Amino acid sequence: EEEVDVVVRRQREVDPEEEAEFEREFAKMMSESLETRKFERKQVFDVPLPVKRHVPQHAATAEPASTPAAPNGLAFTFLTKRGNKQQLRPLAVPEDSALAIATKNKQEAERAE
Amino acid sequence: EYEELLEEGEGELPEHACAYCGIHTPSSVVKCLGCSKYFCNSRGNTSSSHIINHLVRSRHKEVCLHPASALGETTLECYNCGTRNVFLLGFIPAKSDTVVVLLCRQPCASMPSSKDMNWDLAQWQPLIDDRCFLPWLVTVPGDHEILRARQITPSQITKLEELWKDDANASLQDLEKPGIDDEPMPVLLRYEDAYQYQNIFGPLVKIEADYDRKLKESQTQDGIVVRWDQGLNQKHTAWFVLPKVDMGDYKLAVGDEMRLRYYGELRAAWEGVGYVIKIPNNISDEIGLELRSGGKGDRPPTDCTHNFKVDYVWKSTSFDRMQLAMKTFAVNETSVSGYIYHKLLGHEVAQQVLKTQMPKRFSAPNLPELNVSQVHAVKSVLQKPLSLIQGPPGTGKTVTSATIVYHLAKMNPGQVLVTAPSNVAVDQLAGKIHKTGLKVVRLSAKSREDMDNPVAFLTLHEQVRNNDTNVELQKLIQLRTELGELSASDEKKFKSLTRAAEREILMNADVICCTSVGAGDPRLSKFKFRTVLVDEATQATEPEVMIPLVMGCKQVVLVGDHQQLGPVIMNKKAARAGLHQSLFERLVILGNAPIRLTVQYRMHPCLSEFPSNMFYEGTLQNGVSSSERSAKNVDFPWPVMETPMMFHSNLGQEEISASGTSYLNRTEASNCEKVVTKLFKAGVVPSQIGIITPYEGQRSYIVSSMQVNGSLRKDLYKEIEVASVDAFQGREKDYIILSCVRSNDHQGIGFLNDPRRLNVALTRAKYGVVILGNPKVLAKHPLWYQLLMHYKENECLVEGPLSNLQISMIQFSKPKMN
Ligand SMILES: [Zn+2]
Ligand SMILES: [Zn+2]
Ligand SMILES: [Zn+2]
Repeated sequence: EEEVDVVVRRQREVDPEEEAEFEREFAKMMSESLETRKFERKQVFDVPLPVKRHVPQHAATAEPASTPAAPNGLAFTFLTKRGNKQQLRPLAVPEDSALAIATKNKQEAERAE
Repeated sequence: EYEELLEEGEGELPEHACAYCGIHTPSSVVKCLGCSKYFCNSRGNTSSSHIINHLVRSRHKEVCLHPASALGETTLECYNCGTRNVFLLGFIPAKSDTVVVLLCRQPCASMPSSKDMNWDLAQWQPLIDDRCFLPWLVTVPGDHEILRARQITPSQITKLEELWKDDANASLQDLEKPGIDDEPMPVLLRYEDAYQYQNIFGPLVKIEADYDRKLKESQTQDGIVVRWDQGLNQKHTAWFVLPKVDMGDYKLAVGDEMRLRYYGELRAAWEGVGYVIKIPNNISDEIGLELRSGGKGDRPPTDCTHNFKVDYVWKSTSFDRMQLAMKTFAVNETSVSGYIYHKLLGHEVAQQVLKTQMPKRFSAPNLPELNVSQVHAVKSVLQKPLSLIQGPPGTGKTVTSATIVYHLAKMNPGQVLVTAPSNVAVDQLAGKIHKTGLKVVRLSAKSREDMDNPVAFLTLHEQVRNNDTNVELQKLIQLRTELGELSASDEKKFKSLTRAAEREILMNADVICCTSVGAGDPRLSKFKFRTVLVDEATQATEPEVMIPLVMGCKQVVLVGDHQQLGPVIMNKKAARAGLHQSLFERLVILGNAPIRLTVQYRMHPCLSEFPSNMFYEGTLQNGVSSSERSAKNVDFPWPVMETPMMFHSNLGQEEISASGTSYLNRTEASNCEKVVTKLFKAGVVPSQIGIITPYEGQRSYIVSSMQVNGSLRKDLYKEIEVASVDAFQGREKDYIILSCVRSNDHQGIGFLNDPRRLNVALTRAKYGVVILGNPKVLAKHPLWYQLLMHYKENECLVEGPLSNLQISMIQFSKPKMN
């Protein structure tokens, strides 16, 4: 039944004036955010790579049932911090995303060597 | 069962339902840490996802994932420095492993990366892409879910966000409550009478004033570091940098009033008020605040540098004067002549011709000879009680206005009042009128008296100071300068003598020049002005232009161009109701045809062709020839040497390697620097070049990237003016580079959508224009499609490196007109 349902989206009512206004606000958020960091002291980031737990190849059929079936993707590990403790979480990154493409290219380049 | 859920009402939605649309799949929503509400990552009926909509409109910046999402309850933050501002965050991968981490773009991800580092900083990918959170981090709900969700419109979102500012628990239903959504009455084309006029414009001015006040007063900043300095006039100046000031919601202007407070522990608390004498510019970010000399014992703490607080002193003067002008218009029968009264209200009135002796010669002494269209304008204005003159870019508007004023002053008794919304325009015009030999007084606001002014000798306060006929006043002035203050009785005498001297100078003048708001100055309150000319009339709101008009006018000349940018209205409600429409424009719509100046002396003929056809029905003629506008010795790779214009195309590929935010385009910035360097090498100097870009983000990026990448002397790049279209209105440069900043399919082209803005951008350059942009995206807009076709037909649409430009073969289809 699901498939025959026709999805009719309501007409988008975009007021160009309002749209331009929002765009300006958005740009401002971006530039302000950057601006406030201009004089921030630089801290070199060079955390050693974590020793990974096993992450399944086509990942992210993780805990909660509410997550829709994980899209095919490259299985990455997402490194976060809670307090001072490192945490590792599986993260499926789509094949066509910039991150996945870059990683795949790198792997191929390495293999070619 | 989803529908049932909705029917049961809002109460049934879980706490984590999107506060806009009600979607509540845990993987699709995030919690805003600024207000603890949840928002989803769907676009719904808007161009940005709901969460992005909310963050931008509420200015919140931090989020946390839902506990039941794949990653669990995770606050998104920079792994290195802990910043949680999502507008700064992005992923970087490890070099040799499939591990990613969140880092902020500035400074953590912008460190020079070394070879042996584990992480690949160059691969930084923003968390917010195409105005959405990365869909693989926060799932985008499916079409089905979106369809079943609450259909919230962009304007409902705007209103709901406004509502939340007063009541954090307000819901979409509250929007329907009476009183909440009261839009002010919109402006009309015609008004019954001046009372109706006042009843409509009064509330709009009030809304704008309240908004302006809220905006400016919320700008208090502490932790300010001050550097002290004392001027020749013995006044103390505090120099400091406000981190937010030129980024924020308002622009600081010279002459604005600010309050400086010391709250540190080194001495007693202190506060003082002063006028801004310098604002941030390309050279330095410092603001100069000249403190008003207080009484004795109120010396500023010049020994302290830290722990200062700065806030803006809001003044209602300009808004009060607008309200007063409208009241005068309504209640005072002599405020304007009967004919003008009806004309302003849009009533039908029989044409009127003023009985005056026409001059034999139409050019004015010491001003350039007029061309045919200018003579026509002058001629038709002199005998008409109300005229509109439209001056397209470079058509000699100022000379024409000054000539008109010259004749009006010669033909009529009393002083001619000349105003414009901006001080710059008033000064310019005052200088030109002075050349004709008329007695001109430039009246400026008290707060601007100590400022540099190109026509200082015309200002009222200078004329009083230099008036050597009144010996007693001169003595007091001298004493005051030497001692810094006078005794109470001397001060009283000084004030009354000054007033008398001012009045005498004003009475003897032929022409009085001031800003439109300045016409409400108490020093002019006893004057009647039969004849008024308002320049830049299309850049002022109606109530602003009313200020000089209601002082008894019988003959009015409005000069402007409704095809260029109009007044800036900050409050959206007021703008929506029509406050942004100028009186000039309304009069044009009512059928008062403006007299157009048609010969332009600014642009190379190839540059005026498109604007002429697009915005002036092809009527613009060229008063300069191609050879006069060809810089013979400037070696620049124009695609066609005879037509110094080009549209440099850069497409999608770069988009990925760009920083990832649509408004900031690295490729264009880098091309911009290359164009500039090429011009420098050809002998062009910085003051000849202007760079226009509609986005603040791109502006500051271009400035800094020219510093980093420019191969020539760094200060050369620093001296180039990089600004928004609005900042270039009314001015010209030899070369203009326009960086459009590509946007993507969901966003349209924003700013550049406005034909008037495009017109202004295209008409600033005398010798050459370089446009940098993405034709594929821009061509979707009908006007830009035309522009691109124009460049293409002239073989000026190119791509590739400057050293090897190729004609671009890109195809774009005619956009659908809507
Ligand atoms: Zn929030
Ligand atoms: Zn939503
Ligand atoms: Zn960081």
